Amino acid sequence: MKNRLRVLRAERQWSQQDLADRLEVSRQSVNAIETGKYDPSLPLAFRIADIFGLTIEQIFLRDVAEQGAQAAQ
Amino acid sequence: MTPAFKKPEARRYLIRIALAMALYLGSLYAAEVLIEDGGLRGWPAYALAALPGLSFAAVFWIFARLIVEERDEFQRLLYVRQGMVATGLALTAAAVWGFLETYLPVAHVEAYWWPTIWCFGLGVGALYNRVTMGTAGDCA
Repeated sequence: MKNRLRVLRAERQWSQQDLADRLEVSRQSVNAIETGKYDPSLPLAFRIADIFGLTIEQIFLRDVAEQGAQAAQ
Repeated sequence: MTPAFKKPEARRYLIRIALAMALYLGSLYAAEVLIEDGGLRGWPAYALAALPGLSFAAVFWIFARLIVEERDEFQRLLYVRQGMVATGLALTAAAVWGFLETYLPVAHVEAYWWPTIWCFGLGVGALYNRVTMGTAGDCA
């Protein structure tokens, strides 16, 4: 799943470690989420959204294929 | 977040592993001295001979506790993947060697090597995580 985490973090001039500290997770976790290697659980996604003051949908983007499949239903 | 060795769950893991290894080495030494050299027989000998093997049960329990106690969900995923790689490697090696022993004149491998291979498999699992996920995890 794609996300805007890196951009949102850069806008606030936070390092990965800064965000990890705020989320109380490891820096590796932030890196894995940013690079799309790991999709966070719903509770963690909500924590991320709360920290940026946005909704989950404003941070995490559905895959194009997934969106197409849903539109076809 | 605190460095890996300062995280309470990682620290507990290391302490528990150290205790399990002490139990393993202690019981192995006791079995050598009391059974092999001292001629201990009967149920005490069976109980003592089982102890080094049972210390592997402690290792599996310790690894399970690490997964349960870890608060970082991504690290938890890495541990689970590590454990799956280790389990797959150890059981596959045991099955393959078992059939080799059945059909071909290969050397016999004592069964206690399979859980030992599982422990080495954790290292392979950490390497697999490193290659595929970019990090080996906190307790690799």
